[in-house]
Parts: sequence; structure tokens; C-alpha cells
Amino acid sequence: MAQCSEIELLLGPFTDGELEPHEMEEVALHVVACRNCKAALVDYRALGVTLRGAIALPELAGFSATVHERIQQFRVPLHIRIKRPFDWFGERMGTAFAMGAAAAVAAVITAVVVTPYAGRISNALRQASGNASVANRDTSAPTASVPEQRKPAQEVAASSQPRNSVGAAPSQPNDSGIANEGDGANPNNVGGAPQAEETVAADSQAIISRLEADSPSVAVWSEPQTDTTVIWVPDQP
Amino acid sequence: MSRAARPEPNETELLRRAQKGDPQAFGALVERYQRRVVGVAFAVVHNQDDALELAQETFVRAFENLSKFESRSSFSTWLYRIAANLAIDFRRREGRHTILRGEDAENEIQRLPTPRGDLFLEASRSELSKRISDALRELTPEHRAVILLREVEGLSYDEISEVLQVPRGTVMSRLHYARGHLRGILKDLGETES
Repeated sequence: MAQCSEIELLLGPFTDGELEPHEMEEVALHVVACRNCKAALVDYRALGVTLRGAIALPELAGFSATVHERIQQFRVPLHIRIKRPFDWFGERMGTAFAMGAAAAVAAVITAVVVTPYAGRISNALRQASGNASVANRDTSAPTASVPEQRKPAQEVAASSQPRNSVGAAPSQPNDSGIANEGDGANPNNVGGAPQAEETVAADSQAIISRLEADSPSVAVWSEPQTDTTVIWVPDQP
Repeated sequence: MSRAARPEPNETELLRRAQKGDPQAFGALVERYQRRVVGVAFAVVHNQDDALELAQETFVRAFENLSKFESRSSFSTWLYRIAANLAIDFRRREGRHTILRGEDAENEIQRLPTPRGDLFLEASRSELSKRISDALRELTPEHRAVILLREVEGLSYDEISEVLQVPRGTVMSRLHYARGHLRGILKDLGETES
């Protein structure tokens, strides 16, 4: 069992609850069995109560108002005054910026996700309208029905070069694979005979698909005014 | 129409606003800690008027230096430390190590709550307070500050150590000495009364 001289040093911290658990236990066991230390412990506890009752702190009425007056005279440091407008702006515009950023992100995601589908849909519509126009085209219409002034610049620029165009019916054979396939399907002048036109109308979708698959640079467009579908195949290198 | 009570802003929010120079937010912090800051100052200088002045100065200094407060300790401990430093400096400057003004001592006794209709008890309370006040004056300022910060303000040993910037062991030894001294005086008083 611990000696009173050792325990006496721990009585105050014991009262304050500032000892380690094993020390608390040791003091408690000692105090139960020791009359002197128990009396000292009672005195220490009474001392706290007495001090709290005896010490009177001053009245605090008007204290905070006085402090407020004093700090009003104090000039706010320059760096805080400089920061204030930015803080104000940040607090009020922060939400707007966050919403704008979220909208921008949503727009980018939408564009990335939707654009390929939009392209496919557009191509499909274009092909469908092309098919319809080829199928419904007047068989007696001249093959070179695309007005020269409405040809795209690309086609006009290439007009002097060998080319293969279903609607524009190239008069010269093309040595490209695609062109040869087209020529193979219809070795005669495409635009020259109505029977050949009907064949093209029936198989135009298959031809367009094959051409696009084999050569991504094939351009297909329709001329609604003339009911003509134009397939432009680039020149061979 | 009943209006719902606005929730009291938390200390972090008040501090953030006060650090941006908002005097209203700082005023709320003053209201929250004024009593204890006065208590800490009083524990060191043991004079009511001086304690009030020092507490005001504590809050002004705190407002000036709020931007330097980095939350490494709690705001309350930071305030108490400013108060203790100011009070220790004041005590050194004024040389009031063991002197308590007579008027202040009398005022303290007058301000004590007194039970009505029991003149004997009132007299004995005044006597007890006077004896305790005398006993506290007999202590060194260091011992008095520690015992008052612990018993009256309820600061933990670690908080006292941080506020007074002394090791925890020193806090414990000073407390032990102060308690022993005051216990002896109270015992004598009790024996005298009986």
C-alpha cells in the first residue's frame, strides 16, 4: 500500500480528475483505508466550493459595448480591406460560377455524346432522301442534271479531273476500285439510258453504303430541286 | 405570427467573419468569453478594476491580431493567454505582487450574495470571504493565479499550463502548495468558528 506522503501529492489532481486511471484507482483505494488522507480530500473539495463562493468577479454590464466602441476606432488592416471585395464577390458569385461551370460541363458532355448519333441520323436522312429522289426521278431526265452553278466547289474544282458520279454520270471510265464496281454494275453510260437509271435507283442504297464503307472520303448529297443524288468519289492518287 | 429563433452561429463562423473585420461577429465572441477573460485577468492581478481594464485590452488586442490566430489552440485558450500575458506584464509594471487595494477588497465583500434575514450567517460569510481574500493575498501571484484558474475558472491543468506558459508539473506543484496553504487557513477559521 502506498504511503500517505505519496498519496497526499495526488489528492489535488485526484479531486480535479487529472490522474491516469491506475493512479485514480490507487488513490481511491488508499483514501478508503486512510482517515487522514480522506480528511484532506474532503478539505480540498470544500476549498473549491468556498473559493467559488468567496470570489466575486466585477459586474460586466456595458463591458461588451465598451469593447465594441474601442474596436470601432481600430482601423482594419490594409490586407483585409483589400480582400473584402474579393470575398464579397466570391461569396455572392460563387454559386453562379458553380452553376455556369456545371452547365458548361453538361453542354460538353451532351455534345460529345449526341454528336455522333446526330451525324448518323443526318447521314441516314440524307441517304433516305437521296434514295427517294433517285427512285422517283424522271427517267427521261438528263443525267447531267446537276446545274453547274450548284455544284460544290470541291466538285467544280475536280471537274477537270476524272471522277465518278452516279448523278452526274461521268462520261469517262475511272480506274478506281469504287468506280470500277460502279462501272461493273452498269458498264454503260449511267445517265444515258432510263433502264440503267432504274437499276441505279433500286441498288442506290446498297451502292452508297458500299462506297461509304470502302472509301470514307466518298461524299453523297442530294439536290432536292433536281431530284438528284450525287455521289462524289475522289480522284485516285 | 411566431418567429423561429435564429440558431446561434458557431464559433468557427464567428471567427471567420471577425477575421474579415466584422465587428458584430467579434462582439458575439466578446459576449461569449467576457466573463472568463475577466476571471483569468482577475486570477493574476487580483483586482476587479484592473481585471476589467485588462479584459477590455485583451479583446482589443485579440481583434487587432485575429489574422494571426491559426487555430493551433482553441480560440478561448488563445484569449486567456493574451489576458494572462497582459495581466502578468501589468503586475510586473505596477509592482502589485501582494498588494490588494483596500477598497476593492471591501467591494468584493459587499458584492457577495447574502442570505436574507440571517445576520449571523451574513457576518460569518463576510468573515469567511475576508479570510479567504487575505489568504489569497498571502500567496504569491503565481500560486494565486493557478488556484483561481483551477478552482474558480475551471481550467484544466493543460489549459493552465498553456495560458501561463509553464510546464504541467509546475502547475501541479503550485496547486499543491496553494491548496495546502489555503486548507490550513480554512481549518484555522473552522476551529475558530466552532
